[in-house]
This record gives sequence, C-alpha cells and structure tokens, in this order.
Amino acid sequence: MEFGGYIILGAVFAGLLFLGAAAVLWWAYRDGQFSDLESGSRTIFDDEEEPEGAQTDFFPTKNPEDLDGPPRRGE
Amino acid sequence: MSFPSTLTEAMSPTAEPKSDLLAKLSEVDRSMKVLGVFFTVCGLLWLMAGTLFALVASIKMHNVDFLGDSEFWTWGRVRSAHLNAMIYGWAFNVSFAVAPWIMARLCRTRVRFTNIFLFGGIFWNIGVVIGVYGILAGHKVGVEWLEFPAYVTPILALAFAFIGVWVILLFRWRQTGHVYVSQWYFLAAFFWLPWLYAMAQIMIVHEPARGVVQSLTNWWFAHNVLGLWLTPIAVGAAYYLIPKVLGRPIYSYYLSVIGFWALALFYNWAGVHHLIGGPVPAWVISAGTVASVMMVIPVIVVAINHHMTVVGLHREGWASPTIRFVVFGAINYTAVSLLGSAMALRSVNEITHFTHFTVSHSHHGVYSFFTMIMFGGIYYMLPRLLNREWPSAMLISLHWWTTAVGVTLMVIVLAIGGFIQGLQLNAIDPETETAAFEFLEVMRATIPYMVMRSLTGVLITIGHVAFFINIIWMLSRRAADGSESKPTLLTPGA
Amino acid sequence: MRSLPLLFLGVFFTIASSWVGIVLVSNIQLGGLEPATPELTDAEGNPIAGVFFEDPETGEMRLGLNQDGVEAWPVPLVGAAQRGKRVYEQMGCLYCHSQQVRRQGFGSDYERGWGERQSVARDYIHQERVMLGTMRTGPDLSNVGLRYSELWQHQHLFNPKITSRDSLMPRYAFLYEVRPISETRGPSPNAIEIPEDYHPGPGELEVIPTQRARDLVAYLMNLRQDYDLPEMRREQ
Repeated sequence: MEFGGYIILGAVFAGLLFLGAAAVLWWAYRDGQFSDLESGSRTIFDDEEEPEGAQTDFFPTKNPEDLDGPPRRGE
Repeated sequence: MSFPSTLTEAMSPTAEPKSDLLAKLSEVDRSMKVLGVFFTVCGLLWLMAGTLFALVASIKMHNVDFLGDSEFWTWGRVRSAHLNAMIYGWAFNVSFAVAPWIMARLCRTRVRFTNIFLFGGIFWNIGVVIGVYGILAGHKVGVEWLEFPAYVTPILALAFAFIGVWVILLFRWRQTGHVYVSQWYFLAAFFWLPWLYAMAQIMIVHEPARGVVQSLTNWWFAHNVLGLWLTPIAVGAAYYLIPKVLGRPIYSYYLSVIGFWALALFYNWAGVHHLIGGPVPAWVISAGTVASVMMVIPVIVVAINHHMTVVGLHREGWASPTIRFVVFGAINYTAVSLLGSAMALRSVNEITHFTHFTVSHSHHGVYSFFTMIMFGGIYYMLPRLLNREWPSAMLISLHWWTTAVGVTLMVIVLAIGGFIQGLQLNAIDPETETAAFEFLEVMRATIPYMVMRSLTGVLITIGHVAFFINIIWMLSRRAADGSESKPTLLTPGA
Repeated sequence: MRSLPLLFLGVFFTIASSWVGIVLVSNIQLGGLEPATPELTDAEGNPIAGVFFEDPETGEMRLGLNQDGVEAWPVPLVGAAQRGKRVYEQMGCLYCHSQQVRRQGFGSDYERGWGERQSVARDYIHQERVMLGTMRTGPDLSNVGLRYSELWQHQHLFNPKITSRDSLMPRYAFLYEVRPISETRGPSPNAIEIPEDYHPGPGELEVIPTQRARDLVAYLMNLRQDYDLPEMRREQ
C-alpha cells in the first residue's frame, strides 16, 4: 500500500488528460470549429413550414390570426 | 438515390446526407406518429399510476393507519413504487416520446425501422410493470433508485439496447449538415444512461462491491440518472422548444457549447453529496462538493440562454401552452440547481441531509423542472403528430395552474418543514449536552407540513386528470379537416 | 460543434472520469478492507496508533497487522439475523431509518445516543446490501440492538404506538399471527405481551410472531457498532 505511487500515477493521468484536452481545443480552434458559432442556432427554422419570426404554438382556438395563417413579427 | 433499405445499409458510414432527401417537418411528424403516441400514452398511464402511489404514500406520512394492515401497500413499498413508476415509467417513456421526435425533426428525416423502437418500448414497459409489481409484492432491492427486482434488469437492459440503437440509427439518417445543440444533449444522454445503468446493476445488484463502495456507486448512479439522463433530455428539449415556439433563435449559441461541456464535466461527479458525513472517504465527498458547486457554471449559462431568448416576448409566450410549461421548467432548472449546489456545502448539508428538504429538492428537480418541460413538449408534439388540435383550452389551463401552483407549494412546504426538521434534529442543549428536542417531538412538528403536502398533491392530481382527459379526448377525435379546428401552423395533408 | 467523433470522445471521457474517480478509485481504496482488531501492530508485533505504520527499513507506509489472539471486527451476520435483513429490505425500512452515525460535532448523532463513535467504511464490509439511508423520519438504527429488548422490538413492530406514542411508523401487524388461545394447551410460550389498550379485539387472543417477525427482530438486535476499530485510534 504505497500512497505516493497512487498520487504520482493520478497526477500523470491528470496531466495527460489536461494536455489532451488542451491539444483538442487547440486543434478545434485551428480547424475553425469555433468560427461562426451563431449561425447554427437558426438551423431549427424552416422557411416553408415553421419560419423564423413566427410563433408556432397557441392555446387551441386562440391563434390571433387563425384565418390569415402564421402571424409574423417584424424583427 | 434511395433510402437505405436494410439495416446494414442504414448503418453504413457511407450513407451520406443528401439534401434532396430532406424531409418536410410535417413528413417527419407523420413518420413519428405511432412512436410518439405510443410513448406518450404509456407515459401518461404511468403518470397516473405514479400519482396514485404518491397520494397513498403522502397520506400515510400523516395518517399512518391509512391502508395500515396491508403488506402490499405498506409505506416502504408504496414509496418505492411511486419513485420507480414516475422515473422508469413516466420520465423514461415521455423522454422516449419527446427526445427522438425532436431528434427526427432536427435530422429532417423520415424515420424508418420504427418497429425496433416500438419493440424496445413494449419490452421496457413490460419490464416496468413487472418491476413495480415486484416492489409491491416484496421482491425489491433495497437500493434507492434501483429498487426493481434483479430479474427485471435484463428486460430493461435489452429494451434500452433496442431503443438506444434505434436513436443512433436515427441520427445516422440525418439529412442535415449541422448538429444542433439539442442533438448533442440527446445523443449524450442516450450514451450515458446505459453505461450508468449497467455499471450500477453490476456493482450493486449482480456482483455487489464491498461495503460502502456500493453506496458510492448507488449515488453516482442515482444522481446521474437525474444529471445525465433527465437533465440533458429536458434541457435539450427546452433548447429546441423555446426558440422554435417563439420563432426567435437561441440567445447565444456560443454559450450553449460551454454549457453543454460544463454539464458533461461536472454533473457526473456531483452525486456523492448524498453521503456527506457518512462512512466514506473524505476526498470523495470533497470532489463531489466541488463538482456540485462548479455546476453553477452550466446552470447560469443555460439560464442566460433560455431566459434571454424569452425576454421581451412574455405576452406572446403566455399565449402558448408549450412556452408556459417549458419556461416554468427552465426557471426551476436554474432555481433547483443553484439550491442543489448550496445543499452540497457541508454546513448546509448538515441541516438539510436526512430531512424532507431533500424530498422537496428532488420534486423540485424531477417535477418542477423535468416534468413541466416534458408537459410542454407533449403540448407541442401531439397536435403535430396527430394533425389535430387540442380539444380543450380550458383543460390545458387547468392543468397548467394546478400543477404549477401545486408543485411550487409542495416544494416550498417541504423545504420549510424539512429545514425546521433539520434545525431541530441538530439542536443541542448546551447545558446538558444532549439533543434539545426529543426525536418524537421533531417528528410531530413535521406533521402539519405533511398534511399540506398531501393537499398540494391533490391539486397536482387534479391537473394530471385534466391532462389525461385532454389527451384521451384528443386521441378519440377525428383528424382535422381544416375547418372544425386548426392545429397551429401545420400544413394539413401537405 | 461539427466534429462528431470529438463529441463522442468528450461524452465518453466525462463519464469515464467520474466512474474511475468515484467508483473505481474508492473500490481500490476500500475494496480490500478486512475485519480488524481494535489495535493493529507493526511487523514486529508492537501496537501502533491508527491503521498505518512506517516500515523502518524502506520508510514506506504499510498497513498494520491484526493482533494475534484478539477478535477481529466486524463479524458477519448469520442465520435468523441474515434472513431478517432481507425482511428489513423488503419492508422499505431504509427510507425512514439511516444506518450511519456521523462524527461528534456534525449533527446530533452522538448527543442522541445513536452511537458512541462515528461509523466507518470497515463497519459495512460484510454487508451484501449496504443500507446507509438518506432519511431520518425515524431514528438512526446503527446501534439499535444495544438500545432495546426483543420484547420492545416486537411490541414496536406490532404497533409502534405501544412503545412510542404518536409514532409515524407503519404497524407491521401482518408479520404477527393473532389467534385464539388454545383451550387445551393454554397460552403459547412464543406469544408476545401486548398492553391492554392495544390488545387486538375482544376474547382470549394471543399475538404470535411469524418467522419473518422473529428474523427481523434478530436482525435489529444485531445492529450494533460497539466494537473498537483501529481507525478510531488515529487521533490518539
């Protein structure tokens, strides 16, 4: 039962893990993984059926523009 | 250009996205119809069963003679039946309904081989039925969150294998280049859960580890079911539903990246704070406490993102049942997590540990946060799957008010009662150096809070009944023909 | 995030880290614990304080050895007590009763007389099912075997209000057989004494514990952490 050994082993693994994480981050940065992050947030919209700027859920029969299709908000 | 027609073809890494196969959202919805409805109904039935068990257990906490001579309904079993029915019945089924549906929409693909998922789902529910019955019949395993008898484990594991494989397949069928943040949360959750479950089952139930290593594994598992399964499912759903319903992209997509990794990194270490003061090594507890406090980072990040997306659109959001439920859940995610970080501090934990405060906290998490977001998800999903409108706005309103008010009161009542209980339990008379309050005295003081808890439980039950009626009513209606009632923003028969 | 392998790698490493850290490392640290005598010795047989001693030759810290001819603790449960533990588990006792004494100064466990010392990992090494508990709707039971008699336990299980007025504990009367006293053989020697106020029904009835009740009480009577372990000597 040698505690020093475990601590050194743990430190080595922690160091490797840290270096690995740093390397991965560096690679990701160089690879452009972090560029233009915000555009992804718009991928959930779809111009045809559920476009950006239109609310898509209302209480039943409470849709304010029930007759004229989806309400659009000026952005 | 053809869909992969066989399983092996579907799994092939060369199955590249083809933009001409991009499915319309209404087509995706239609292909998910059977699955979504099946899991919603299963979840709903479990919700009702779990509510019944909850009421019985709650009433027994102040009227101990209620069903007092029945071994089947003895408190220690009903309580576990409640927990397991709610988690493995309600929470898992509703996750299987909402998360893959959002996933399919984000992948923009018509789903295939749905029988795999359905088969897994049927077995899952058979497993939970046997498990809950086993608990009541006296075959339970005395480990919190793992009470299902050992013979149920293989059924659940097999069922989840089918479900998990199908979700990975679904992801492989995606026709989109970008992987949205909700998809990471879902993928990660579907990857984390089997690992957690397998390890916990092996090290606690089937090949028990020595002594308190079991307890550490137990809380590593139990807290991570919340942190690495329910939380990513609900946070992922909120990341989709809030911007989707409001038609406004998420406030900061960049922050969501940080939030995801911070959650992945810290949450899975946090569980051991359930053992503070216990016979386990101090370093494990310290690590758990540090991780619990670090959870502040992802929580704040998610809070900023969700709330800033809603800011300025409160009136619009109020008009949407989905947003009401999801935003309520999101607010409570912030609250419950910050409270949880505080509870992991030794000085706070000394008071709240072993009391109803913990019970308050777990309902705050699983109900105010997770369940409410899932309610919102169902309100958004079902009209689109069935192509018909919710039959009653009044029932939705009733459901909303009873559950939101009911659970908030329950959490507050239990927190106050629990905190007082903790203070009284710990109080030491400085002169005699004995406990300041007799144990029975402390217990008696909790009873008014237990009665109030039952009352809030009745309120929530009313909400669940309204929800139940609305869903059954909706299912028994005919599909909309465009005139009698119009599902919001669907393109009927497109 | 566009790199999926990276996502999977990250997801894998995060959970692997906590599994290794919490589960595996504590298994390395605690998985080898064995019963120990109250005092351990070094290689020459001299008593040491605590669990470790320094090897005079290499300077390494080594685990102390059990003393010869002294009983090592804890001892495993056997027979009825072992079966009783299963009943304890099935009735869900752990949802209201913890089995862990916290150190003096943290909570009031010591002042309430729930234990003379803190519970340590070694106390649980023989338990196939460790039920530390997370709730104290009822008192801690780590040392309940030292506090009450068998009769008290039976009365308390049959109807907790007999011994603890206003108790919130469910009654486990279904673990007892209530039957008419035999006219030919007279009262059974196994019957438990029930005070007048709580006696079941009119007529000549007696209350006989079933096998499960006897097992459960045997288990409760065996819940005790009154032995000394070397961990306790660390600070001395």
